Amino acid sequence: MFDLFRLDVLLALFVIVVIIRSAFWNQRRIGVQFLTFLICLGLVGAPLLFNLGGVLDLIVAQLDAFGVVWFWNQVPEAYRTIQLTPLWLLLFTVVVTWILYLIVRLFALLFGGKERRKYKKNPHYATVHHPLLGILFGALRAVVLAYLVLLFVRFTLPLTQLDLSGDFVYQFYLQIDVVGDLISDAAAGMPFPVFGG
Amino acid sequence: MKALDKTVLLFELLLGTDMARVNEKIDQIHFSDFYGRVVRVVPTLARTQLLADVVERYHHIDLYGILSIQRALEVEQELVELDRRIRLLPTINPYLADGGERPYEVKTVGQVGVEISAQGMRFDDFVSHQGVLARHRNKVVKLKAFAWYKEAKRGLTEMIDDSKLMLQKIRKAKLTFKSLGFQYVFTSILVVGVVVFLLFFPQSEAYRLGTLNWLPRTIYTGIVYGIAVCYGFLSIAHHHYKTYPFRMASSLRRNVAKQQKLSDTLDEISETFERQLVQATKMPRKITTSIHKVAVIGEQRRHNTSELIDYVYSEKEFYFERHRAFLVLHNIAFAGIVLASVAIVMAQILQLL
Repeated sequence: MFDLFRLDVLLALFVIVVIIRSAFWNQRRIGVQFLTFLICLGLVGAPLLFNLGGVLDLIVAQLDAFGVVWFWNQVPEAYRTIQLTPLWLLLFTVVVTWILYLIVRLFALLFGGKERRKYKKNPHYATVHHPLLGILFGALRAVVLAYLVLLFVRFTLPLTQLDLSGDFVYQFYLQIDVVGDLISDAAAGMPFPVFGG
Repeated sequence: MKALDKTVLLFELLLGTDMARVNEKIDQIHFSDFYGRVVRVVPTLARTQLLADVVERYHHIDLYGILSIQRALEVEQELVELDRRIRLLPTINPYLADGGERPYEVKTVGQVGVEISAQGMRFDDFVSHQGVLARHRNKVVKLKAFAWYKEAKRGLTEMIDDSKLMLQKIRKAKLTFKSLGFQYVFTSILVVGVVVFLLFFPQSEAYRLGTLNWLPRTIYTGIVYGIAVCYGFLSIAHHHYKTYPFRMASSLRRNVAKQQKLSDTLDEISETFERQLVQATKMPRKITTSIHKVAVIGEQRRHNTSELIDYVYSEKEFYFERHRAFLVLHNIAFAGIVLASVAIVMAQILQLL
């Protein structure tokens, strides 16, 4: 079946959808939110990937105290292999990033009256629809999201046995992927028995 | 009817080119009473006929004869009405540079007249009982310009106020597309379920390993692509509906900005307007341009407003009617995803594949 499966096609569809969606809904506020998410991703991802200050070790050491290991051991053994560790690390990073992002958004709601004052002063502030800018910004968003998807695909491959040797995009991605290597290295350096069960 | 006794008909085409002939024609036209003119109508000639043809073929006929009887009756009524309205003109006197007001004297300036052009008839008010006099014409043109200016300003102010009101209503509008939102969330869950099933469940291991026969292999691939396309469309459609108020309000804001700019321009003109009226023999070009813009914006506004009313006041039905084709596609995509998901589950249950 998988000889008919083309990741290129699905990715192209994904990118088109993201760009069109962005063209519908474009304003400065949305752009700021996306940049906030990227910054959160950097804030969460960098310490984990580079194990800055031993953060990763610290988290892993504390997992048992919070009962995470017990839950982890309930997962079928097939999904707790060394090969899949980068996938769980990636998912963990994304989830923590989302939590941090939501916290930042909440704080922005609490203290961010500035935008509203500007809007009150000038009703046209940051609320005009620019389809072309939306398309351009959507392209940026699509690239970032597609990169995340490719990361996910790369670490899911051991589960799926997908044959992506003929996929142009995936092969190109493998050549330029730095973050994926970092995640793999970080996962390889983790105290595996805890994660491996 | 006294005022109408001195009404004359003017050929715009001839005006200014052959004044002697025009005056001759005017002298020939003499009506004693209201009904007498109607009787003299020549009904056979279509009033849409080009003026040049009329002049060439019927130059010996009284110009009034190009009207049909019905039209002539209407004209008479309109003349009466126009005459009445001219007598009720506002008392603002545009001739004073200091902006002072003085009652406008209709009697001495002009009375009702009719202009006939290739497009048909149109009423004007720059005719006096002595024929076309430049000073009278200028005065009335100035008055008209001033009235147009006032009307344009008032219209613009109304438009801006209306637009702001509509913006407020959009912000307060609670219209949501709950069923569409439900479809989107439901299909999202379905898609995630299908993906998880295909990638992780033991039942689809043969699918992952690529050991299936070509038929189920093709069917599964088709389902995957079908779901992807349908879900992509649903995602776009859902976003389209969700962000519609934003785009509508944005377009309204653009219009408000445009109107505000035009209003500022008119304000700017008004500073020198009185002076211009005194100096100019013709209507200032800037005013006509501005009035034309006002008309264009008014037309846009009518279109936008109808859409806004559909959204803010008239609820979903009108909106759905507007986007019927899109909604049909939306439902087809929704049905496609549901059917594909059901197909996979049934195939597994019945062990077809």
